[in-house]
Amino acid sequence: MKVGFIVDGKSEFEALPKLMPLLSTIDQFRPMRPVLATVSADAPIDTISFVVAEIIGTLANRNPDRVVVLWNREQRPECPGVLAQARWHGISRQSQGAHSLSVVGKDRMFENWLAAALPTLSHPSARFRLSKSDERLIVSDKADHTDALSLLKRSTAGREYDKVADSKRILAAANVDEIAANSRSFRRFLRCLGHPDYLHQSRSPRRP
Amino acid sequence: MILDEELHIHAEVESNDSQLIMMATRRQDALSLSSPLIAHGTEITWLDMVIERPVQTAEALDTLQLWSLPAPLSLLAQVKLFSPIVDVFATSVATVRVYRFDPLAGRGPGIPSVSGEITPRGNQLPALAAFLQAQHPMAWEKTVQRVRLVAPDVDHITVRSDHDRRLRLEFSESGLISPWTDNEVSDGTLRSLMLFAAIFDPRGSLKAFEEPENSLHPWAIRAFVDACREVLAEPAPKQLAVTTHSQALIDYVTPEEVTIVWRQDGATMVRPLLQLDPTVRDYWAEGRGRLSNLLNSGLLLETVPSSST
Repeated sequence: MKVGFIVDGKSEFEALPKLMPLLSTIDQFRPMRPVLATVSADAPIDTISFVVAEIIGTLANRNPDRVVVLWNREQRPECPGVLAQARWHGISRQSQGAHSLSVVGKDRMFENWLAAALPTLSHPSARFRLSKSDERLIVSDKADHTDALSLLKRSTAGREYDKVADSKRILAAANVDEIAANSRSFRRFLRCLGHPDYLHQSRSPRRP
Repeated sequence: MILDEELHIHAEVESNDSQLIMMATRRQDALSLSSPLIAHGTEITWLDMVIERPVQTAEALDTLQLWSLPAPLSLLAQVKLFSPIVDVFATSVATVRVYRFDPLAGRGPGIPSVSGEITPRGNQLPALAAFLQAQHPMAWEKTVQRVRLVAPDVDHITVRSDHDRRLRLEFSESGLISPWTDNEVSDGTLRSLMLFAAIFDPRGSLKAFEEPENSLHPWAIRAFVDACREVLAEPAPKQLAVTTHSQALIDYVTPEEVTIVWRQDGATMVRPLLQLDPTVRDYWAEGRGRLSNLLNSGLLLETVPSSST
């Protein structure tokens, strides 16, 4: 399955390809490089839908079987599922249902997924030092509810946290199972891709 | 007696790959120049030039020696002394003009000169205007017409000589008693005058414009592209190169006209868009999306500022 990704931030655009080799357990998974939709995450749903639908037209040039739209929830009050569904309807209407489409809301932002990966990086470097108290804000399954960007900033040693370079560093050494264990919105992402552990549900982490 | 001679100029386009970029040939008294790359507006980094020495007789071909000259442009002046075709080539290079206009520069007074050349930043705009008015009135008329597309209230533009004999521009509007001076008109009006005057100036075989979109309304950008096309359709051979980050400009040209320039491993890479991705032609022609959307989306990494290229 050839999957196209539409993302809303430069960090996702640069770092998501680092995650793709870790998803080899997904049957027939052929990820494309993400493309960036340049519109504010705070824009009205119809505005976002219009821009994303245009990008879907652009992606169509590469014939994806499925298009996954990743969008930050940010500080919107709606629950993630309702928000993702509203966005799905808006984009489907604008793109006239041209493609198999999934909308995944990152809860609340990409950094929450990165924070979810921090406790078990496969190559822990001196760059990230996670305190015990911060670790408790992530495990188990709490990463979506924490102020992830602040956590990442205070867990970074040396130079200030770099949203693009450090997100690439983290995902290159990440463990998919651990991110999934700590972030429900990430499990929803895996489910959209057909990950074998989350084919039927993404509410709870897979039991070891 | 020299019978024939040829000049082949190569550039290193990719590492370890030398590509012919210009060939000059002399057959008795007839000179011809051709270039497979420059015809597409490709910007070249001059790295190497190979000159076949003038051939004295047909037999001398067996002993032909090649010269390899580093930094060839600095040596062209010496080389042209013995080779008429290098002379022709050097003259062609001398007519290359690069413009990166700054409205502030255009607001200054002009110094009267015979050549009436505008500088790359736009100094001497009044001198160019005076030159076109006097020497190429048709080109000046086209220039003012195009400026009116950008600033419809402008009736005519005149060059007057100051008390110290320096040249100043004045922009007259119908209904106004006194004209606007070059210090009073908007950046967009002044910049459009610079662009159109430089475009319609019949001198120069290759002109490059750096980011003409700055301080211009998107409709003015389209008028600029139209002017470029008009000049290119004239019988005199001309090549125009425009660098841009403007969505309005990109959406007003065809994929064939777009060349992508990007950085990779410290080197500047240049490639026609359709060589990077031939499917763009159908994407655009079949109305699946705008060219700017494609280039802006990151689908082609070379077109976005990405650390992954």
